[in-house]
Amino acid sequence: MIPSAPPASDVLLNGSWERSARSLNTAALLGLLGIGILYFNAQSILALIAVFVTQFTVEPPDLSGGYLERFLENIRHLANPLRTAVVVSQYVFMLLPALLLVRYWHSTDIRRYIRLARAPIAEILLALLATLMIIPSANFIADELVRQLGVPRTIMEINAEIFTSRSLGEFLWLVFVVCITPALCEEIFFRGFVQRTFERTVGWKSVVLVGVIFGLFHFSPLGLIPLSILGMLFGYFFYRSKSLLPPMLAHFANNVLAVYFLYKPEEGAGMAMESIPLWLVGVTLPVGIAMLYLYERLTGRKIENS
Amino acid sequence: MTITPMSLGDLFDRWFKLIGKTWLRNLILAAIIMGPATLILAMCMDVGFGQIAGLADFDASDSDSGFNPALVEFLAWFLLGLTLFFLGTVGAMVAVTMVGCAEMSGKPLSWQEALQSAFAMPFLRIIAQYLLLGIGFVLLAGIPYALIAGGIAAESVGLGLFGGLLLFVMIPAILYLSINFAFLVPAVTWENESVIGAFRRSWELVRGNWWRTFGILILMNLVVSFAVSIVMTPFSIIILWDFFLNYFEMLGSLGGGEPDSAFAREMIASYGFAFGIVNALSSIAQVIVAPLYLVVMYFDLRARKGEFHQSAEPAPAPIR
Repeated sequence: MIPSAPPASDVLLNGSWERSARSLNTAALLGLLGIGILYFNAQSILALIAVFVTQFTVEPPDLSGGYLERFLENIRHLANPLRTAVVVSQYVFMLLPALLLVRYWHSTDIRRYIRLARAPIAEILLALLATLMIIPSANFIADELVRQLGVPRTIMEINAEIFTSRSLGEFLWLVFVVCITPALCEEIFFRGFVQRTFERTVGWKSVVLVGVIFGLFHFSPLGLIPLSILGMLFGYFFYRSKSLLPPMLAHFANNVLAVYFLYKPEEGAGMAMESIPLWLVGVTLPVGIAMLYLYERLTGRKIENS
Repeated sequence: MTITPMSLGDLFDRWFKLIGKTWLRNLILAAIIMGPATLILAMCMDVGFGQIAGLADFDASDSDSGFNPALVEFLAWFLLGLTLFFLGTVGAMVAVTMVGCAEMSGKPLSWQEALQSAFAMPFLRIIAQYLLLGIGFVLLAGIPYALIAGGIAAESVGLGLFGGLLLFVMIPAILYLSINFAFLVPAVTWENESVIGAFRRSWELVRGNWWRTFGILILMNLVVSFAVSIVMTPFSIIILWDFFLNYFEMLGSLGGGEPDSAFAREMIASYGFAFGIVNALSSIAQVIVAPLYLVVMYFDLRARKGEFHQSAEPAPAPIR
């Protein structure tokens, strides 16, 4: 049973960093960079191993067509090994080190420190709905950048291939890889550890700071703005609700939507990769902002108490 | 100000705090010193990549010597740009080290003061030291290569093998010396050591702490490289916008076929200036923070040698 969110003063701060005279900002930044280095390097090595093993154990696809088509075929062939590398690295090289750092630097009461606590159902629902309303605007920005740069459709298909499923089994596997795993690992790392630690010195500014860092950490120049917006949104839910559940579920909802749109049980089925129309942004964005205002009102008491 | 030996956590903490206190001054210094060199380097790269893109059209039979004069011209410009950029980087490093050392000693230095002092004697001494180091390392690495080449030329297996073995010895030797001479810049800028005196001083500081210094330097280098690569991601897309436009246009024109070399040439030609700017900006970002970890480690090593007065009373715990 998950406990309800405790007041900030209730968390036992008995870690080594807390007992030293060091800065909390250093802890957050050093943890962020240290885990970042570990995660990306380990992921690259795992991906290389996965690709290497696949090349020697699985029969290669029959490559035909042009340069990009052959590239797409190759990516399809390597998608599952790459997904496995992502899952392993998220749990072993992001989640585990983040929990260890919290345990040794900040508090033995990890759950309370990272705010793995219950949140009222209204807050969770509102966070989910607000996210669903903001997603079209964030994606519209990404689409616009893609359009301005003239990125070819095949390149977008290659990018989307890792999130594309062609059977129910693959769809469920992708839900685990792309939706559950990042919602758990990235939220505990970015919100539970990094934002939580920054929040203790810079308050609400940690929402913006970690949101931008979240965008930068994906190393995707075209996705920087939408990812930063989503990062700030998840950070805002974490900051206001004092619980990790709303951002986790919002993150899950965002990713599951992407996986659902790319579910193609039959050849040619699934949602077409079309740009977000401006009218959809015009409709959803004001509703999303209104929901964020409601969220602000709903969580006001928690902020006053903290 | 009392400086005591620091643990790994303390070193990072001091380093990050030092960055926080000095980043604006260091940014101004780096921009002033490295800015002009950056532009020159970018222009040289622009000319250079244009020449490289045109190489495919060059017919050596048309030239008497077989040399492409444009390529020679590019190399000259490229070397000039690189030399100016190197001098700018050294100047900025000296100035940032001065600001860092002054801050660590509790006597902050303004960027104007650092700028004035950096281009006096310290700058020339550091250049002389880098030249000496460069010559030394080239000799150390060059001897085994020369032996290998000699072995091949003389068809002597023994000589070639000896050269190969020597190469395996020289690589750790170069690494060993690099760590021992890692603190040349603080020794010159803060203790006003002579060229040779700074070599001796840095060696003396590292003695007994080689492995520790080696490990921490690797960690701090990793942190700087990773942080700079993250920060540079958005800048790269903005600065390399034209390049990416060409790149995607090339990919879009493929249809079902193979890449067209004409598009590739156009892409390479559009790469130079932006590539020079991106590289220079990431160098500036590194110069703002990297010399500071050497400063913190320099003070830590000095504290380990008992060079600072150490209070018998433990420092009071800070109040939060």
